[in-house]
Amino acid sequence: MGSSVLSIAKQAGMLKHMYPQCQVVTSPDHLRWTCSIQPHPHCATYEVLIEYDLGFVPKAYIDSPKLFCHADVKLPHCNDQESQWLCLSYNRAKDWTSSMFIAKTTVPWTSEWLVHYEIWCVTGTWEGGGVHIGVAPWEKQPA
Amino acid sequence: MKRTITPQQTEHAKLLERIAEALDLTPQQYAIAINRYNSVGNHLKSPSGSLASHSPSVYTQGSFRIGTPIRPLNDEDVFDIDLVCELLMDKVTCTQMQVKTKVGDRLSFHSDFDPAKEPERSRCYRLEYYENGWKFHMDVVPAVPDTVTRKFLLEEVKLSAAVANGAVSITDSSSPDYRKLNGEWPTGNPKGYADWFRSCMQQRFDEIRKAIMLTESFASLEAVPEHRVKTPLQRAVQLLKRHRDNMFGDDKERPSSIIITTLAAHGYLATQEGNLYHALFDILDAMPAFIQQRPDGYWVPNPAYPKENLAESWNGDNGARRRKFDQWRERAMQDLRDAFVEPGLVAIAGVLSRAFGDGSVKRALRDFGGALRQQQAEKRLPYERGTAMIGTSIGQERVPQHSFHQENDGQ
Repeated sequence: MGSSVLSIAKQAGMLKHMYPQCQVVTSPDHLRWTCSIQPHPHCATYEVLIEYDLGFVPKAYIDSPKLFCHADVKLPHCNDQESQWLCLSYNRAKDWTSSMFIAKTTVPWTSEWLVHYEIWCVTGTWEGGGVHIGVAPWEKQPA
Repeated sequence: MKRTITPQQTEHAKLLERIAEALDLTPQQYAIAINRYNSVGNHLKSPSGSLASHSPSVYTQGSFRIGTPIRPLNDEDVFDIDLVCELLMDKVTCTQMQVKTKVGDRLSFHSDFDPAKEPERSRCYRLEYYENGWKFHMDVVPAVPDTVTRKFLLEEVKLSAAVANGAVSITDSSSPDYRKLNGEWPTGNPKGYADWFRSCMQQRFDEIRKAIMLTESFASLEAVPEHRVKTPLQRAVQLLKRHRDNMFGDDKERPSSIIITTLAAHGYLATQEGNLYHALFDILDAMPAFIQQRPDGYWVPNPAYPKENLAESWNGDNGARRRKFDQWRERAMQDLRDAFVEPGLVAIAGVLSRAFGDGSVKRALRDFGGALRQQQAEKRLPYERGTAMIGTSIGQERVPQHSFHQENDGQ
């Protein structure tokens, strides 16, 4: 980790500053942020959880509701269907580094994911772009 | 009084706008239509052609002229474009048949004219096309200036010269006067109607045209093609026509496009509202006030030729058409009220699909997603402090670039 790594205190401070109505719990090397997010005026509200271990890529989860649109089709851009752990950044391209504020990256990226998720629910196509491994299973749509 | 538009209503308008855009002809269809129109028009106007001595002018009429055409509900349905071929002939010295035949003779030398398809109709010649999987036809309506009506509209009805001077006499081969000299000719004023329609939204039209000129660096206002400008009135008419299609299918008693368009323009004039969501309510609210109840029944006068009752068919059907119009208007308002009550795009799309069709709503949402993606890639996707809402006009922050990258197989 370089000297530009933002401390947990700084990350938590920015989250509180930008989203005062949300909850942050910290320890010296860990941060847990929970918030109700309506990602767009036309979208539903979701309980979002972000877990951050200092120096690692933050993990964003949709705590509730359980996301479900298309039977037998996996959620797009999701690392874990059970915990609803979202794929928000490309590590190799260093989309996220520990010198970036979670409040200004992971949080709006989560909103963006949620809007694309709702569009996908209606249209069956993921319009958000990104990189996926192999054939994207969500592109196989039920009729 | 200036009304307050909430950020939510701004988003409602944006989504409705996208749905209306999804009703437009595709750029390819538009290009095909313009191409055929130019080809046929140039042929009719050719200085070496048989009509040259009558100084023909050729122009579109109807929805294509006023910028409110919509794609057919089903792919197999036919789109139509009407064009007028106006010859400088004095109707006192010729018959309808002579005018019709002159146009037909010239048209028959054009490669799009196929005698096997029997193009002659009572008031026009119909050219049929099937290009790139798209079916459409072009009705060529022969016409001559109607100087008597022009004078009447100008002096008696006090219409502007621009509106009055569009009046034409057209031909009708099913009329007993078709072959008579000095018989009765049907009257129309498609140019005048389009000018009147424009006048109901002129202020808004100029504003939008200016905005396009500035953002896209056009040299002048006139350099911005008129078809690029879409006012909330034009978008509203497109949406309302599709709502009608969706509700009635091809029911013969459904509200006609000309009635919807005329009442919408009347209803829009007072506010010239810039927000499409509000404009739709303004229009639907105001519509009934422009239906007149006269001793001989319902009247919606053609604004460009007030002797013509656009609601003629409403009288003599025991009120069936009037009832269907009322049902349609109420349903449209209810659908718009219901659309944004329950949050979530699934719920919203459910109501809007019922109103405007599944295909156009899906296209609109794909377009919405694509726009978000592009804004993000260009680092101009806004989000709001406090709420983390993205894509609204009030977001102060910009979402940093990233890509949704799957690190495993998504188990």
